[in-house]
Amino acid sequence: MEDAVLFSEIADCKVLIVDDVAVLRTLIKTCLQKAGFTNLITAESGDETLEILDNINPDLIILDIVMPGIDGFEVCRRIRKSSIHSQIPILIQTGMEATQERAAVFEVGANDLISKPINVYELIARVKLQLQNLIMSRKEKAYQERMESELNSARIIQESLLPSAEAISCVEEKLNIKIQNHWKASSELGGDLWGLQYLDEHRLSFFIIDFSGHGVASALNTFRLHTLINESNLDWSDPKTCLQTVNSHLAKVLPPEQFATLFWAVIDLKEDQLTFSSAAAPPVLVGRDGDHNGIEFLDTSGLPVGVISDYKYENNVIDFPKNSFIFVYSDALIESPDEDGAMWEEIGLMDRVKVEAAKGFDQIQPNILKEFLDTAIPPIPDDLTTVSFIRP
Amino acid sequence: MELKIKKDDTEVSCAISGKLTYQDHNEYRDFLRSCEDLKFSKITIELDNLTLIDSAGMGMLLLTIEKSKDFGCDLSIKNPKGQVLKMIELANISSIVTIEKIKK
Repeated sequence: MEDAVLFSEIADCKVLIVDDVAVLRTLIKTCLQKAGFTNLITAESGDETLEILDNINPDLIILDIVMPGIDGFEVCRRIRKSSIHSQIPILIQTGMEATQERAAVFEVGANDLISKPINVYELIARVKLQLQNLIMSRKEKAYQERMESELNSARIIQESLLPSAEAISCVEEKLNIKIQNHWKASSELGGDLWGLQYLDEHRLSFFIIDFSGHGVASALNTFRLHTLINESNLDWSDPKTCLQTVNSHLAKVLPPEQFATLFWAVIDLKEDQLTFSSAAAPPVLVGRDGDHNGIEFLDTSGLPVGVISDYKYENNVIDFPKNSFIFVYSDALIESPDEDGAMWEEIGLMDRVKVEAAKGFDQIQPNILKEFLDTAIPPIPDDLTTVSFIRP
Repeated sequence: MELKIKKDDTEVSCAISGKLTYQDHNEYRDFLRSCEDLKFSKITIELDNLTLIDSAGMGMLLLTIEKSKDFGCDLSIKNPKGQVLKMIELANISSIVTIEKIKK
């Protein structure tokens, strides 16, 4: 097997050799020099080690135990408690044979020990190992930081696909309708998206989509969809053709096991109607005429989009008079386990929504969301989106 | 998830029990791959003991439907129950493949 870390990567690591006996310091230093290490510093005591630590900031310390003044155990303890140096690998050289004393070396936080009298090959092998581990974990950390920063940039771009607060309040004002929403990916990126469009002075159109899976792959699909919606002259006023357009496009580009659930609706305030078309979206809640006991689930069954390219979706029309609401959500809301492993499921959601609706339709989304976030066990296993449209 | 697979010269049946979720997709794909080389005329997927399916699991069923078309063989999905049946109905899977429900 090839070494994951080359010797050239560890040769100039700073190694601090601590021993009160000058001959031993020189011996260790010479051995390491011959092995190819170039950055070797020595100290004569525990006190000196602690003094020079901030200046030197070594990559590895080879530490003697028995020294006048602060001994090796105490040096090790203090370094482990230090906020800056606590992670420095420490190799303790010990002449102690007893098992218990050798165990004490690890208890104070040493990474490894090397027995005295020092065996040159063992010394070099252990130093190499510690430094290789160090370089490896630095590389991993750097990789992780880069990934985090890249995912963070991607998340900001993904959030920009969602309707902005300004766009939402613009629609709210023009149509005198209240829109409450929440969007949160389960990891840095998510497979949920929702969108909104003002159609004319009495109509708005919206959709909520949830790509199967979550994380980067499904997030890329949300970008794909966003591009599709913006580039094809989609007729937002007709939910079923929106589904059909999205479906036939996704069926071509998605592998067979990937799909999305999609709900699209138009609210018409002049006709007092809501027209919707659905592709396996979680059952949507609707309450009408202020009747909180009569809240019902819409039938949202339909083949998910992205499976069969020529599938025909239908429009359904329901009454949507004044004092009504529609609440859409992604399935994380009803499929995330609480402390006891129980999920809300549809029935649990309905019960909760009815309770909140009695306080006012505008209480549903914020209170349901609060209860969910208070009781679900983090991390929430899937992306979560909830949107409520309330017609006063 | 646990798969119980029975094969003869012309047919294969696969009983899936437990939960079919993302973490099972490799094992399930292996099963589908194992059907690829053999020319079966019928694949039966038995869901009697499947208690839960997530979106990745639904993806596996959709992949099975797609693959059975590629293989040119009949596919039958049998006895989904509870949450699994609900998901299959919500996704209108019966519009693209026969779902057999046998009353016991």
